Amino acid sequence: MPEPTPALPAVSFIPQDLRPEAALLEEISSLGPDSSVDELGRQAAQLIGPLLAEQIHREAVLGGGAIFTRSPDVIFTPVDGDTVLLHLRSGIYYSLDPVGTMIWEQLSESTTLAQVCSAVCDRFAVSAEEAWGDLSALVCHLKAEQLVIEMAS
Amino acid sequence: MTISLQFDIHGELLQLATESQAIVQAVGELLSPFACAVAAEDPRRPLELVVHTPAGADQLPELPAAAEHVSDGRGEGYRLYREGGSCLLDFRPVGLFRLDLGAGRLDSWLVDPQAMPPEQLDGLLRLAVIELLRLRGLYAIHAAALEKDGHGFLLAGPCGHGKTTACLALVRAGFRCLSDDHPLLRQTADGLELLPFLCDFNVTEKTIGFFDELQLARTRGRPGAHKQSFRVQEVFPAATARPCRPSFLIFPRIVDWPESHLEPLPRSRALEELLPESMLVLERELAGRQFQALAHLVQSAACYRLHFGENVLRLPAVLERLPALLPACA
Repeated sequence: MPEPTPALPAVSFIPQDLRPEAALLEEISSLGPDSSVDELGRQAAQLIGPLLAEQIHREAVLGGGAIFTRSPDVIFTPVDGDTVLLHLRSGIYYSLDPVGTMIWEQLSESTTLAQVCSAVCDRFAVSAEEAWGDLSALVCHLKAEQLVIEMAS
Repeated sequence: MTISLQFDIHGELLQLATESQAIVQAVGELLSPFACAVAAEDPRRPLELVVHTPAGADQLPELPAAAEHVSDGRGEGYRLYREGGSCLLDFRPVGLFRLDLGAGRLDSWLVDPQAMPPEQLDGLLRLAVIELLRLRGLYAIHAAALEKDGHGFLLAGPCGHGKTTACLALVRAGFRCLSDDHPLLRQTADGLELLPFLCDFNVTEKTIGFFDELQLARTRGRPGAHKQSFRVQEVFPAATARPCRPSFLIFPRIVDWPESHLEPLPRSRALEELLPESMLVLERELAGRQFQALAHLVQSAACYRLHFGENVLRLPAVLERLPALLPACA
């Protein structure tokens, strides 16, 4: 018989003001100390809604050392400063504006998100905070659409 | 008894095999400009379209157990599967296609085609032909295509955006027509080539009402058809065009303004609008080649949104101004 799943010790990636009530946490029976951040994120989305969960997930998952690469299932073409992407498995099309294009071009196995963020700051004269917000939002979106792959740290 | 017809479509041979007279007639009409007799010693390997006609949906082949469901065809009434080197498009209860990518062969099972609405049968056979041609680098674009003074004009977009009406207005004014619905695009070493695929025009009563010349279509109506059909060269004898380079890519949208207006369209937007109308992702390598050809098209052609106004017959004057706007080197 399998060991009962231990009680969740802490959900430390959720800021205090966004934590659900303790009673709700008890309903999360499938989580354990070894649960992945993705699994925590999915459970959190059920409890607090997808928008807040996305924000939390983004902040928790995307450290500056994270590395993402473009999926081999995606083909793309630059068009007048924008980029149009086609996901070959789903057949769905996407387009990126010039900022998104610059980020897309930077994603590679040898580039951390912190380095991408720095490049965005240099290119578009924005604050690091603003650049990180846009970058993390885009990368989360690209990841959700399976257009990028997260490399092991 | 199996009946075989052969067609030469811009250098690619296509061979139909079927036992159904209804299919022979429908494919014969669809591909009539390309009908040919192929010499026995012709070294070209033909594309094969084999059409089986089971009497009922319960006689359609079962999907192979190994078939992997890929997508639901963007709500167009089929489910797409892959199995080994084949793609399956399941239109159950109407039919099933199995496209063998390596062999260049499409087997289709169409349930009782004689009982099928003519537009549905035409649409399914057209899709089968388009998917076969894609294997040889001939890409159908959902657009009307015309030529004038060596410039190719593509009017692209979904059904109901005025492509055929615009096409007729332009033909009437001296433009020549390559297709009102599915011209072919081919990437060559010298650039892109726009190729004719001229079928019968299918027009609504509203469109007929714009053109006195089209009263003929009213007398040729097919029973059960929502639209009336006619051959454009019967009405406008000088209407047919030869291959040309695509110079203008135009996306019409019907507006309730009196006159038509053109508005430059960003190329990325043009590609986004073109892709869903012209591309079905069946296989990676094929899709990649077609994607690049379409990207080349939007990069090499001038792209516009056409706000297609109520004064249909004044449209040619709007489009005739375009060549003068091209850079001198174009």
